[in-house]
Amino acid sequence: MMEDHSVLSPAAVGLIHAMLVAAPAEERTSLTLRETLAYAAEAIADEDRSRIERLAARDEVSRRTLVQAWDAVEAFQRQPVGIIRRQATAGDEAAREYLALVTRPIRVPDLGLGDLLRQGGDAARLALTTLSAALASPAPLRPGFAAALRSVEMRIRIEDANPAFAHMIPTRDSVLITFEGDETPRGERLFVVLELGAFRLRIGTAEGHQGAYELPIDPTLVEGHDLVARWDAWPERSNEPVAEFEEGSPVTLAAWPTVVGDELRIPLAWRNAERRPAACRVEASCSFAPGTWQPLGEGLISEASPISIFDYPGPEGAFPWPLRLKVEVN
Amino acid sequence: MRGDREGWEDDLERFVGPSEADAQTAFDRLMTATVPIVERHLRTYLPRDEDRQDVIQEMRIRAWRYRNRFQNRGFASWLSFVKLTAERCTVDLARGRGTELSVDDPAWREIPEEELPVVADFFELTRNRERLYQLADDFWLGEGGEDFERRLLAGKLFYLDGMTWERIASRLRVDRRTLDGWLADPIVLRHVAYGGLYVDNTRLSRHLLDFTGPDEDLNALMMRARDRVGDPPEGWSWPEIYAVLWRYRFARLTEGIHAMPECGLDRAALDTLFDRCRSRFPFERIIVTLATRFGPQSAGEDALKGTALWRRLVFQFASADELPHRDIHDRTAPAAETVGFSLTLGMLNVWLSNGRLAKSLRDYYRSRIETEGSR
Repeated sequence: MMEDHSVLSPAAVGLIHAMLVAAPAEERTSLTLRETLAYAAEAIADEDRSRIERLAARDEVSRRTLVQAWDAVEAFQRQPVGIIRRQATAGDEAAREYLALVTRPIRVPDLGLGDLLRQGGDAARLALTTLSAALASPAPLRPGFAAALRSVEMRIRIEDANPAFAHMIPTRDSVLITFEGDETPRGERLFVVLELGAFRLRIGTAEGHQGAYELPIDPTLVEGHDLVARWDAWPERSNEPVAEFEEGSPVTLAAWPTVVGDELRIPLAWRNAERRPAACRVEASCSFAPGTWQPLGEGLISEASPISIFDYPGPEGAFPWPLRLKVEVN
Repeated sequence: MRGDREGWEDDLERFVGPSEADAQTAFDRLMTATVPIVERHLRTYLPRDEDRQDVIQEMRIRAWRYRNRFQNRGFASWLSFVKLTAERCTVDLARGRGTELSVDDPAWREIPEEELPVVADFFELTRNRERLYQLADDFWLGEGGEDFERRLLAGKLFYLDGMTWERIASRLRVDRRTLDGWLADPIVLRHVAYGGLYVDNTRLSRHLLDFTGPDEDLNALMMRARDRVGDPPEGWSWPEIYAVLWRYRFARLTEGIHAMPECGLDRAALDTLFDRCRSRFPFERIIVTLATRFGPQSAGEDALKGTALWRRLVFQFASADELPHRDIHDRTAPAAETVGFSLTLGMLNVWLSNGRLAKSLRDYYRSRIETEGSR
């Protein structure tokens, strides 16, 4: 036998320990039907049947139970949520647990759902359910990060809502929802704005909920209390820069621009910090209509980012897209 | 395993390569392999699952955004890059809540360059649990060589099951002299001792509760205990069964169990309950039985008193059962003491905290690869 008494750094030891015990947390507590279904769903999302084998090998949940859960989740994933809900209502425990499983908690931002719920009282009880992309699409969203998002189907369910609902909130007519764990192909956190009165869903990524895409919610798609919007519009060119720069520009877009009031903020980063010029002037223009470019204004970028362009002509919250930036080094 | 390593190397090349689409695909694959490790690493700092998921999401975003900062020096440098990114996200998460996490913790530093190969080897090693534990057996308990399974079976039948040598010889079709040789083999004895003394979390909880049904029913028992359905098994209350299963089957600490809303026992009652459980631990009885059956032969004494057996047990309890040091101590030290081997918490700390056990296993792994490669 070999012995080695040299030691490793705490940083390496920590990571090695994590590797040695990196069994998924579910493996230790997969006891309820919901947890078993969740486990099966994760395994399906990972396309990894061996996870079930490994779990069963550890005698924590029987292989039979897990395989049944696997089959059940696969079957649920092929069904419209309305049917699953009917099954649940009819007493199907697995359907009920599956629905509970795919109902993710919605993070309520400062502006939005929490206020609305408080203002609206009982009549405005708003239950928003997302069928997570990891379960609704063949590829996982959270680990998958990319192309799967193009086929994400989101279902928003409004319970006990009526057409007058939007009018019951006189000060606001929209709800900002962030779907926990969802992100865009670029890895930005996803924001969804549901405009209740307008039956419109805007999907965007920037803080401040500027929507890059607006999807009308077709009333004909309303199924019972379900408002269904299929989001398959994320552009193929999603990995391209989100703004056009003239060739050789020393700056690049660091994050999505935001519009606050009449101020357009464009976060910029230097392409090469070592060759950073003393200052640059940036002219921004936007194509609000195809084929036309409207100057937005200009700003000076020196040390700090973002630049701010005041008197932004677009409506508040409307994301300037496409955005063209001309950068002039002083 | 070799194929996986080459796959990751390709992914790393693509991740730092010029094609963004390729980089993204590679990034996804690398992350899939890495996230469980990072998630486990974060448990030390972030007990809430929601917090860990937030950090992991942010870590993915930043790792992708700052991928040009990554220098490809192999898979371990990727792990180190992701780990550091996750730690920075953890600090930011804490800061966002108005708290400060210590960044002076040496565990938060970058992994030294010279240790990257160790980390990379370990990543390979831990991909396959069965192989990992087999290596650990070979390293600490000894390589049995050809036909070892048969010899070990003979040892287990004789020493653990108490079968007579005549029956064993008849079943395994060996003569008495050969069987005697097998039963006196120090490697067989060490493996037998380990096989007897390693009682995993589920087996231990079954033993403590005198539970004889299948494991499926153990799950059902836990649910009944949680929901207090029907009458509990004789000698137990439902809250006790619930606590015992959390404590010994799922290795949850007393504080965590006490904090669970459905616990139903106060802290003193929990302490009393777990004292009672410790007094029922099977380890001392097992080692006394083994010592008796091994008899006066020096190989038997060496097998039980030697440090190799205890290192192997400690490694298993730490890596497979995720026990904290004190729990490992509870399951090993009293039994070790019985045969005159002193296993202190300090020793456990040295073995586990400084990575000695892990590193020595990795060195063995490397030597095995080199040996196999030269054949």
